[in-house]
Amino acid sequence: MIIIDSELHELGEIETDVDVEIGSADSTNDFELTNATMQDIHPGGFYIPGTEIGGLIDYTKDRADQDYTVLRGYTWRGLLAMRTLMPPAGSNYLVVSGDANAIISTIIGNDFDGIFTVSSEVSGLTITSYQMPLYINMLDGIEGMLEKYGYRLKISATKVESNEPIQILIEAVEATLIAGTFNEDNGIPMSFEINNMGYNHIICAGQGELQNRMIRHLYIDENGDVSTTQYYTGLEERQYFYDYASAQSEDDLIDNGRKKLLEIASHKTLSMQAPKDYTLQIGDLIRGSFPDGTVIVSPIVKKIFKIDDGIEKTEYKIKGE
Amino acid sequence: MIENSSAVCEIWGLILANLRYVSSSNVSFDLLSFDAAKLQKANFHKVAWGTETVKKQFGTTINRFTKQPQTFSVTFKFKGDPAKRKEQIDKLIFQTEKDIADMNPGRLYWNDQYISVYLIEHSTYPEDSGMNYTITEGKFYAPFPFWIEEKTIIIKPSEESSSEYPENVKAFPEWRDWVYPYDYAYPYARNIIYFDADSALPSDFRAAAYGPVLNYVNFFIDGHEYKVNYELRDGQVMFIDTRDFIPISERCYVLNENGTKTNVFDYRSPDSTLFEKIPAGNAQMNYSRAFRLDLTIFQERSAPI
Repeated sequence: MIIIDSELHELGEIETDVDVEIGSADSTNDFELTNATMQDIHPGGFYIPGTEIGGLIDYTKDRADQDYTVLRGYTWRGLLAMRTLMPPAGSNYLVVSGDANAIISTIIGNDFDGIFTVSSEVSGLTITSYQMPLYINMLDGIEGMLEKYGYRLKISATKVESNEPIQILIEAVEATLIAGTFNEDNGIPMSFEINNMGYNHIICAGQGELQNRMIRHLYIDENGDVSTTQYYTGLEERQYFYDYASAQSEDDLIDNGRKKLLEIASHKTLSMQAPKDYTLQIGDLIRGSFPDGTVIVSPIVKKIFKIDDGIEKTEYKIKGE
Repeated sequence: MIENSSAVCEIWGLILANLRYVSSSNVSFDLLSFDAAKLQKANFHKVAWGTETVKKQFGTTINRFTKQPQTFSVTFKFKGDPAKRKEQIDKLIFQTEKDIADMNPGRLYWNDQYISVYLIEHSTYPEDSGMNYTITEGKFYAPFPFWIEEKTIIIKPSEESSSEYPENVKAFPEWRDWVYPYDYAYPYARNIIYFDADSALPSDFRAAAYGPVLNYVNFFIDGHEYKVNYELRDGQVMFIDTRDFIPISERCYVLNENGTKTNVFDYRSPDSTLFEKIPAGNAQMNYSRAFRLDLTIFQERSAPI
């Protein structure tokens, strides 16, 4: 682990305990590290070369009765989560097109004093007229766009030149589908949850008053597809009223209603503990087979990395878990 | 664990070991002399490894071995007239408490091996058998539970060393199987230096490169490159120290002509990890010999020999 200053220059190497959580915007995307031997420097952040583990320090705590310092801050991904994507002036939505890396470069621009370098390589993913959800944070916006096309956001920090700031490289890469690897037969602990206590019919209420209020009905079927066609009826029907009076349009109401329904619907979830020698990345896809034959493919959305008394440990969380 | 009797300790002193305590202020106490701080009893060969395990149905799987800080119980015996005893005890206690106040440990030496310690407990009383002796019992606390023997290799630039040989180097002719020890002086101008890291564990080291050095400082140990893209003027010395308890800013720094220090870690070559330890056993160093390089190897042992 290497300590850097606020200008991203390396100050030195340490071995210390650290607790890092990275992932989508609902992750904390922060870190905490404790150290007793940094009194001689002014740390601005840290990183582990070649990985996404790292960030900038925003919090320091010293206690007179303890011989160590607690340092906290946001990870690189966490910094992206604290920016909101606004529609361009004169437009209702931010709509992007082009190579994925070029889009990311345009979105990030020079918004972070240039600490991020977006790959100038062609990603291989060309996007046409992708509409970002309104006022979404930058991280979720980019991740959602890439996930739709089977890609993921890769962040890695490395030292490229002596006496130069480290480079924090951002790029779109194809998500790896890890299939047939994670199952009980291989001794990897997995758990399967079947939850049929969710809703299957959402009543979306947008702008307007009383009988003039915009109402749209959305339904989910047994395959998890959302449409305006009812699938479950009678005793099996479960209704949920979704009050979204601030919806900007019918599309906005339906988009958000669809998301809400997916959140509250009955579902099957898969969780797993990755083996110690297996490194997975945020956005990689996990495919797992349920005992009843159902197959779930879901991206990794959270990664918790810890060094505790010198031992490294990584936990992963799959979307929907 | 070996519990030494006074006699055994004396035998060790006469035959095997030179025992002394050197405070952080560099005040030395001969632990075999009644004129300093005679050690009557000690257990310097106490060793305890710990384990981190995962429980299984049958037994455990060991993830790794660990070692906690070590504590050594010691008994000092002072003799002579009471005033002399008092002075000796005062001197010992003052120095060990100064170590604590400065948070800078003293060192217990067993011949050329040392362990960094603090005297964290002591109790003084007259010996039961008479009034001619005073006993001080105590406990030394070693935060890093290894005895270190330093081995320093000084390698001068090839143009200066045509008639000199590096010190402490066990070298072998290139055409021989080099694991066979052969008492052969180190040939001048050769860029490969063989040495032995006499420890079962990988060894920390401190390297000192003396300016002038053009463009960058680099050397290889067992194929691993240590490289810092920093040019040294005449009079500057660059230090690389792999020991992780050294302050961060002093693990890769340049000592300037005026005594100031410059942290140059940021100048490391991107492909070079600077704090890789030296593997145990036979090793070889390869470098240009365009500058003087001192290599101090910290060979670790759990107990002194």
